[in-house]
Amino acid sequence: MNIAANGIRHLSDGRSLDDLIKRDTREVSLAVMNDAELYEWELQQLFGRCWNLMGHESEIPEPNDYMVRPIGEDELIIARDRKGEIHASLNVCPHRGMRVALGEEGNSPVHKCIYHGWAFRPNGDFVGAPAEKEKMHGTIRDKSELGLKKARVALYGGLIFATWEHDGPSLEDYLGDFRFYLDMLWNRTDRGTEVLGPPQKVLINCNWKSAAEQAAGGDGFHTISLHRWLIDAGLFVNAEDGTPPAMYGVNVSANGHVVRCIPVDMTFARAKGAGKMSLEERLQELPPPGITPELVPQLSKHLSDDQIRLLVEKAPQVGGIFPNVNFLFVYAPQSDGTMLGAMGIHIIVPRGVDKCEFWTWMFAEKDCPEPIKEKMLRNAVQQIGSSGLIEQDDTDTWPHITRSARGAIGRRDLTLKYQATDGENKPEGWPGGGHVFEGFAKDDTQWYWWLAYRDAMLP
Amino acid sequence: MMHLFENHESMMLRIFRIEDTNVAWSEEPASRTRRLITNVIVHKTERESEYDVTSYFLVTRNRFEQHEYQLMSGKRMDRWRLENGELKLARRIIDLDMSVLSMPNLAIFF
Repeated sequence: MNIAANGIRHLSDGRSLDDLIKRDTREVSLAVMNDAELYEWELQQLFGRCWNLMGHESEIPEPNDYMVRPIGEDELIIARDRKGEIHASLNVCPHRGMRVALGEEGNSPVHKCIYHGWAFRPNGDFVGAPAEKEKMHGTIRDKSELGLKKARVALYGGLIFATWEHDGPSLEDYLGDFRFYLDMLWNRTDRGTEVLGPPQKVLINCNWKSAAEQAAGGDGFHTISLHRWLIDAGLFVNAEDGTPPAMYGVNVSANGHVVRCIPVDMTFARAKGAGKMSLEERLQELPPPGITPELVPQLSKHLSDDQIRLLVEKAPQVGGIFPNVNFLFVYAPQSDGTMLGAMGIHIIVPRGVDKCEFWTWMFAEKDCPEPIKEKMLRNAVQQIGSSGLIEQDDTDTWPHITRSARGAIGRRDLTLKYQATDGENKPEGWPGGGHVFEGFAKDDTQWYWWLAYRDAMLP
Repeated sequence: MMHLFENHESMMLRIFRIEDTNVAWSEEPASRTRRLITNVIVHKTERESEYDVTSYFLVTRNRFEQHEYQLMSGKRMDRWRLENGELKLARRIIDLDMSVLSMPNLAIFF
């Protein structure tokens, strides 16, 4: 691997990203799903430079609250200081490399390393070491140089992001045109969203990209095969024109971030005829996932008319934030005939070339009535995440791909194919930006995920 | 964190999915599972026909040709109800012994 001062450009056998990601035929070498060198490259240049999702501000509401969160295989302390500002620092003692915070979350005005007692503030600044007079921290470096390594923090819609690139693009620029779509989910009510508990965490024996290219990339086609049981059980039904469920929609890729806007009546029997209803009727009868009648008046304070119409008629139900975030704001028909939602977000955390962790947070709007919050939590836990009736099939599939990528011939000769495309076809009057693909979901958003991956890997 | 939030309806759906579809891919083909139950303690409750039962479990799960078991241990806190000579499970709270589960999905019953 060529680690020059200006970054990595190819593997030690000479293969470049253009050999692995074949842009002329929209193929990706299977080898990428199990390659130790490429993995190191990703940790340094991709995770090391992207904006990474750390969690949600409602997880650390009080001064001195903190939580330990990953960027690649590095671990950070995400802490709120006394003034309420959120900081991110590498959870590694600069003295001898010990982990400083050992729990997953907590509240402390000082983070003290158990090994030799060096102590740090929530913002990462060095407080001091024991036996101050004996100068454990030496005289060569000033105290101001002995703090925890600091990352840059930015919030969007309550979501906390961090990056090591202090001089790179702002989070707003990183999201770019995607903000229009994110705002419909994370910036639509007076007090925003809150987590419904700490995240689920499970280990999957697969390369992180097996999960990410599908979940963060916006794979549509897998729904009708891998999630076939939902159709066989009658929970998902064909649209009136015969289109298989959850397949028709408007798929958008902006800066490598993805959203699939899927009309509710293309999936659920309960929603048939929605197309004939007025906007107001739909807001009451078939509200967007996570929105209750109490919350409807808030929407117009935060969203444009175009955004409200889109949210109601073609709800942004699933999507991803590059590189490793997957979000779901899905409809959840209840047995009493009403329509509720389930809101969740995943991150895919690399844990070695053939392992990753899959984290899941469940959400509700803060102003959502408490009994509905509990139902939303139940919907989310039952549908997505570790025991989710939808997602339990995904996590059992990805390890097979990483296994396939160990075979010499498979690695050398096989490619992943993203060749299903009708090209861009933005509907007339479409209010948002990005690359827009209307119709039966194709491979486009996933292919754009790989193009974003390529860009993120290059120096 | 919460990994399971079940009720009668959702458990029936899980059973339906496994029994009546052949595309429940997280358990198709079925895992090889074993549930080892120990340390069972039965407590009387304020109701004559109901018992609080705690137990420890070890669940082993093996899939395909995996060389290793996916393991899960924990504690179950149950309420059992005697109805017409039959013991029925009224409530179950499960404490799992791992923070990051080494089982990627919970597609089986505990």
